[in-house]
Amino acid sequence: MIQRLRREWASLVVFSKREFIIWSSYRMNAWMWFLDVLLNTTVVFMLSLMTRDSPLDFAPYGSNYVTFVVLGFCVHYISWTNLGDPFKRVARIYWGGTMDLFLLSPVSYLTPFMGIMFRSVIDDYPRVVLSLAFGGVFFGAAYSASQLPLAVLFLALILLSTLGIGLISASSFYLLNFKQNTEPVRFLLQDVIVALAAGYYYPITVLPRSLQVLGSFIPHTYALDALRRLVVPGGNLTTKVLPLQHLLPWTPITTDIVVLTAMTLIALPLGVWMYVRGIEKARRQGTLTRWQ
Amino acid sequence: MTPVISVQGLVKTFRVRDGLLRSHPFNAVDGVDLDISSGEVFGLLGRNGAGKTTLIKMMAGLLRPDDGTGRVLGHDIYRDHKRIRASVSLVAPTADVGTDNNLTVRQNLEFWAVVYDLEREHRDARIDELLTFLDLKAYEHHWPMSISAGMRQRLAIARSLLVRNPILFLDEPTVKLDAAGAQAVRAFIRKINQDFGITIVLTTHFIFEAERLCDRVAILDRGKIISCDSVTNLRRHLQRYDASEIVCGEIGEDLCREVHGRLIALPNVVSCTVERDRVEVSGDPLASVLFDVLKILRAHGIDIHSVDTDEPSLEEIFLTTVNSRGHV
Repeated sequence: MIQRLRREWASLVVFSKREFIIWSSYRMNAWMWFLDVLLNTTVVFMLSLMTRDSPLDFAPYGSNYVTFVVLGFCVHYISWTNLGDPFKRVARIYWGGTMDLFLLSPVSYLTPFMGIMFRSVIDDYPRVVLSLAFGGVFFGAAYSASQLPLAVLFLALILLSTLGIGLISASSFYLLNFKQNTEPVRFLLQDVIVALAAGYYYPITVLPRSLQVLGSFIPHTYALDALRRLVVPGGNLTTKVLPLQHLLPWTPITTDIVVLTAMTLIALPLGVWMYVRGIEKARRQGTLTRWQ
Repeated sequence: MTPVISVQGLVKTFRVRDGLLRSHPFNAVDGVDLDISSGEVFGLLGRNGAGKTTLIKMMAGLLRPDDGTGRVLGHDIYRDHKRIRASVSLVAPTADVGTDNNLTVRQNLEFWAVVYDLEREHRDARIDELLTFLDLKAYEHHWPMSISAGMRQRLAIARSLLVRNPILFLDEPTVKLDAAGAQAVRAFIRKINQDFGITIVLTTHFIFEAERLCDRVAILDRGKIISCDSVTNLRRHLQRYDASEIVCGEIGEDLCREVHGRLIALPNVVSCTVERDRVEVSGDPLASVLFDVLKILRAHGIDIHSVDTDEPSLEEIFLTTVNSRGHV
């Protein structure tokens, strides 16, 4: 078992090294990447100027709109990689013809695409730190560090739960034979529900009730709710705002932890199981890879 | 010799779409029986779409058969497909499969050495050995896109040899190469088999390639093996024995009859024609009779001007076999 874990880890490291070599070999990318984060944060700052005197109620998320949205960005970057990337990476392995070669190696079914995902991890995860830094240094975002361990826990939970959904999305490549462009899981969650109801730019209390209920089905809602309560100065830990928080007897933060943990525990094993089933289905149908 | 691959009645059927909702079954492999011995270079010869790639993918554990039984290196092809995959290597027809153009030749091999779990202390030595063996040492720090297609195919072969698996599947390894590149790859295939003792299963639709490289050849057509033997035996089965035409000085009518009688009485002579200035003789095999034939002609004072032997090529065997659908 230890030998196997060591082998998987060594493979993940070598994949990461390869992806880093590729990523860093395009120098313009790094500059564009830096500018992109800066521009996004600037846009948020401009919006914050517009909303400064508006009657919008950010309660219980404090009063700093830049911090509010920068935290939205952090969850967005993590989700963009973990939920959106697995399908694209599996597609890259398939169209590059390398799935057969990976399967002929002793590494697990998951390791190759997790390793290839590292390209997006390099690209997106540092954006979390950069966004926080740009917001704080240039645009007046302020962060409360008093609940830092809890905030880190929520970051970890959103990372794992979105990865689980990403695996479900990736499995549709083989399981449902979606070979091009997008696929239904990612489209429905990332492009529809998350875009409408996650509340990256606004508190979901401004949404119609139906969209608030829709937002209850994605982990983003709970991670954003908790992170904003914990990190935006003046955040309130007791006022209930999400539909499920009203239904359950616990404090909002406890509800967020329970729901996010449950989503992670369902999505992650389900995603792994579906992905493995997808590979086995492809092995039966002869659609593991395409040699061009 | 012990068979390292033994399959019986292997079947693979795909659904082929012929409309939005309609599809029909297509038998890519249809009841294949095959035994491949350890250390052999075995050729799967067939036209495009004959089922060669499907067959090797099933033998490599990459494709689950629909029916039939089989063992590869003693592992059951259904239950132990993971073990089979971990014990075989494969080179795809396109060298670019598995080769990253953003990494140098050496970096590519270093990457795969870790993925294939080659022990850390052996990695550098093995990579150096393979680069030297495949004449790539001078290019180890080049980008794959800056070397020729033939070299990239050798890089793909080097990757497959990083872990010394006992079986190597080569799927049309020369199909996209120019003549010089293909020739170099063929030379290395033989060398790999001889130097490392690796069993090689090679698919090709180049008949001369199979003839040059393979100990045995299976001819595949529409998913079925219609003939499987050594090239020599395939020639023998082709009802056209090795023949020789001997051009000689003038032979009188009586002498013609006498010489014909002597020649046809020789063991292993299948047919014989004696004319005024030439003798045609077929033997099984020709080499065993030719010396005696010439001796008889000389003993009768007949001048020999030229000897021309004519053996059926594998191409003729292939075409005859495929056209007669196995009624060889």
